[in-house]
Amino acid sequence: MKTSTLHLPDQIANDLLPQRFGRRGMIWTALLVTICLIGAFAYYRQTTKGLVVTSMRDYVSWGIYISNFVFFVAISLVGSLITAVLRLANVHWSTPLTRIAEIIAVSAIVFASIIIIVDMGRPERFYHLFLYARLQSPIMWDVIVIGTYFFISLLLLYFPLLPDIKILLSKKEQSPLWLQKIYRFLGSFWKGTKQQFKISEKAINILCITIIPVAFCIHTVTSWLFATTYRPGWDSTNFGAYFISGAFLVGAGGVVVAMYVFRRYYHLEKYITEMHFEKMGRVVVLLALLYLYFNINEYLIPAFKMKKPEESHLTNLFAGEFAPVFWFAILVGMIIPIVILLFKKGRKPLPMFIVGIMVVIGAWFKRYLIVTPTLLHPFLPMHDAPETYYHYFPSWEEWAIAIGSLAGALLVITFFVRIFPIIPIHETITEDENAA
Amino acid sequence: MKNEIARREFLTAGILAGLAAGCGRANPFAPEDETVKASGEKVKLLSVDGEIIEVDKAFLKPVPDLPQVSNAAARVGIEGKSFVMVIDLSRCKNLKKCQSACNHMHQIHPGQNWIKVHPMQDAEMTASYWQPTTCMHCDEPPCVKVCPVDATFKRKDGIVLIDSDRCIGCRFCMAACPYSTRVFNWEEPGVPEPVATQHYSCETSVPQKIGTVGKCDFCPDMVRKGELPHCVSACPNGVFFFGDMNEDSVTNGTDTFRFTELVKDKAGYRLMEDLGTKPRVYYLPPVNRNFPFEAGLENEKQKS
Amino acid sequence: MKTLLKLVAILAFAFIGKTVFAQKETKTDILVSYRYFVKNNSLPYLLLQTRIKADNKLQTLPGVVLKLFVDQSIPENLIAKVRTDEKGMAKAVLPVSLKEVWDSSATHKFLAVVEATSLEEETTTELEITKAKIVLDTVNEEGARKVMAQVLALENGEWIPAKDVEVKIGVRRLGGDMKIGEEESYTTDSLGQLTGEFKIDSLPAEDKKGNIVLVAKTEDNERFGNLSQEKTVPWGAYFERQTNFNQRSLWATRDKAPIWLLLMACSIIAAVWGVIIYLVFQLFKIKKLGKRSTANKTQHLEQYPSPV
Repeated sequence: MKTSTLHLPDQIANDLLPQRFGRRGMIWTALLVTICLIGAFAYYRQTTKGLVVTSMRDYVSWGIYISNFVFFVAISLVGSLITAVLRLANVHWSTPLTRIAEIIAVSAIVFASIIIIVDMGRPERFYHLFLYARLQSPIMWDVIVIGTYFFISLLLLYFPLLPDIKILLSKKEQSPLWLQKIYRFLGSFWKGTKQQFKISEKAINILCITIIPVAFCIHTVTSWLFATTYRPGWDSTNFGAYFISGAFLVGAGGVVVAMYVFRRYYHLEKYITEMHFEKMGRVVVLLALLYLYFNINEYLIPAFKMKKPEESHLTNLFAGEFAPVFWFAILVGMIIPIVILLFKKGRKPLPMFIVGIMVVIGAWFKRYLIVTPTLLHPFLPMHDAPETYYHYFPSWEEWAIAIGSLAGALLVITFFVRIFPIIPIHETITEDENAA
Repeated sequence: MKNEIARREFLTAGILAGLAAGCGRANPFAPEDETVKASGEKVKLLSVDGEIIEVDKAFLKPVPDLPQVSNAAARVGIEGKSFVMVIDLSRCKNLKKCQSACNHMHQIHPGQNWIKVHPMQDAEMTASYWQPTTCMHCDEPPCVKVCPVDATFKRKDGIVLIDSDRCIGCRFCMAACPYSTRVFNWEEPGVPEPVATQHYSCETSVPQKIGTVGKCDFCPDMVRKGELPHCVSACPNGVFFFGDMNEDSVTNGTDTFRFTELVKDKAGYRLMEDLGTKPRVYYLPPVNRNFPFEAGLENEKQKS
Repeated sequence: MKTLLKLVAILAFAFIGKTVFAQKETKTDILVSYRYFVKNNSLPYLLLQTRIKADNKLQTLPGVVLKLFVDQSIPENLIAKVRTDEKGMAKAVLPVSLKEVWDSSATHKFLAVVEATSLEEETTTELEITKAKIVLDTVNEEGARKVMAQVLALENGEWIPAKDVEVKIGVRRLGGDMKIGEEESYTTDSLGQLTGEFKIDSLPAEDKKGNIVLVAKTEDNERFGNLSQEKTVPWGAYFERQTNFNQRSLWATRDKAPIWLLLMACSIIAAVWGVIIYLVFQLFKIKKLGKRSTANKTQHLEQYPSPV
């Protein structure tokens, strides 16, 4: 006989349709818009006065804009992990999570590009990157890979969306007119014929295979922005793998947070079940252990040698000015999540949500620790410069813009959820019928 | 009222004038660099023997108006030259005259310095000394490698320049430079008027522009005129030696030495040799010091 | 009577003292460096630099107007009226109008007058010069290269050897002259002659023939000013100037990127973007299929997707 997991296709479709924002949704959106506007105002100040409104100066010439950039690129890898890797491994429980992962990926990549333009001293000369492109520069590699990854992620979002658009179009009465126009524009040509499905499935497969090396490239190249310099803390052969493992971790953490929020707010308990949290919990703890392993390699080995330029940098991290932030990032970002997730009770939805938030916050501070402390330990003494140049704490404009960019990314995700089903309807129906 | 001043007092001063103003040809005023354009207007002058000689008016100016160097020419460099600098650490007293001359002539934003004079001590037991640090104009420059738009580039004559019209302000070069020699124009540099609207050239690096990177440029505009970079002429102790490896000579304005001999005899070295950047600035170790290290401290206290 | 005399004396001293002290108060010392140059026995010229003492430091003083005269500060003997530039320097040459004055004597006095202003009094700087020249010759005897110079001063229309004149001999290089031997300078003997041995081995030359330029000069000599004489000799060695500017490297310009980098990057980009473009074409194919099947009226049956 059929198991209790079987639902009527129609019921599935109804459950998973995008819903209007209730009061909480409106407040959430309004809050995000406000934060974005404050960020925009801070950026206006920056464009009129110059980068002097930040706290970056000649020694700490890269600050939280760059650490935010690295953070965004890291999170964007989640698309390749959940969607591509798990899909290719024929894992089926991850199917409901693929769209969440992809939209986080696309949104993060867009804001990575935005925050990089914000960091430029001459943003109006952005076209120089295309007109005078110099292939020897790691920044040029980063521009190319980010552009490529954006398009692949967009395609990976679009192809699986087509069958769902058809379902949405068939349920005209449940969506407002403006949404219907969008659906028609995007997918009215999809009829669901066997031929169309064949092409679509093949395309998705190709995308999944292609996106994995591109995702590896994107974060490796971003890590090379640091590893191609001589500075202590950056001059490491470990950086590519270290960054990628960190990216997978923070991406997985982000997905867990999104899972919990959507499950609770849209009452998707039947689709994002406790089993999903259990499985994601195992994924996260595995990734956290892997990242911890890379961190040990990254910090313990130079500390063993204590080369002169590294000495002051490492002592500062372990026991000096940056010690509180460093240990916070290690504990909250890795160790406590590992401990919680090793227990079955820790892999229930609510603890997982808290762990997800811890992982993401810990990861943000970890990126800050990668960028700033190194710059405060140049080879030659910091000297013959104004005293303010020897310290760095971000100004309010920097905070506003950084938080504004995070709010912007969340806003994109929020709008997406309003327009499209956050869990793939067609695939859920298919999976369900296969399970029967 | 008569004022008789001993001329010896001015031997070390105003040397540039003597060196700059034309040498070596039948026309004593023909500048070394033949790119000065003759205006066509001739002037009649008296020679030593009382003869009348005609000289083109353009050559008579104390500082000839050289035609502007195009961006393309500035990116290639001065033909046949290979500039190098030698800094004699045994002579440095932290007077920071090099710093003020450089800052003034390039109209650098107040507070920032292209030349930094660091108090150095290599190990606990070894000597403390003052180390003026300019851009090293490396032969394998890490800053040039990472620039995404060719805004900073290496020339034939060894100089690494910045094109402030190309720079997008990404500051990757600043992160890449191990000598921390580059500065950034975080706000309007505040260049006063006649200079602010003058034609910008990578060789003069003036006026500096907001949102772009700046650094020591070995003053190629001065070298084209046959003069020495500003730091070299400004230092009263003759710490900076500048010259051409292809001529195998370096000079601080007063003394001219054979470059290869100087660096060998005085055991010259380069900073952070093991990084493989191949810098063009050599340092002569602080042996047989002219001044003790403490003599430089008074200038430090004043500045801070 | 005695007290009256005392009073007068005190008043007199006070007056004199006041004048003297007053002068010291209002006088700002403009220091004028006045130098005479002759290169290759051709055109003589004068270089001036004005500086001022401020805060115990000497600073260059731009914008000072000076009137330069020969022998006497009368309008007929005006050489030029100059203004110092931003570095405090000014340059002047002898105009033809002064030919008679110039020819009249072997020795001349140059005067530089800074006019009186409210802050300063009129100051005059003097420079006394006797016309002279250096004759430079070279000799190659038994493999030893020798440079001979003779300083001749003009006296009653004849060139007479000048003795005890300090002369520096060097090779012209960028920004300075490299001395040819160990001695800093040489002094002329009773015949006005001196000899220096050229001891530089294989100095890079300016052209394939090995030409270098020898310079013999007096530096701010009290009688003759700054004389210099040049001579080109083929005593250098030619070295091929090498530069790797045109080679491909990671630090060269964008058109000279290393081949291995170009190949790697282009092949990866071509492969991935080839896939992307192929997929976009597939998307258009799906679109075309969709339009075709509308005509086939199978819409109703396909409301719910069938498993593939």
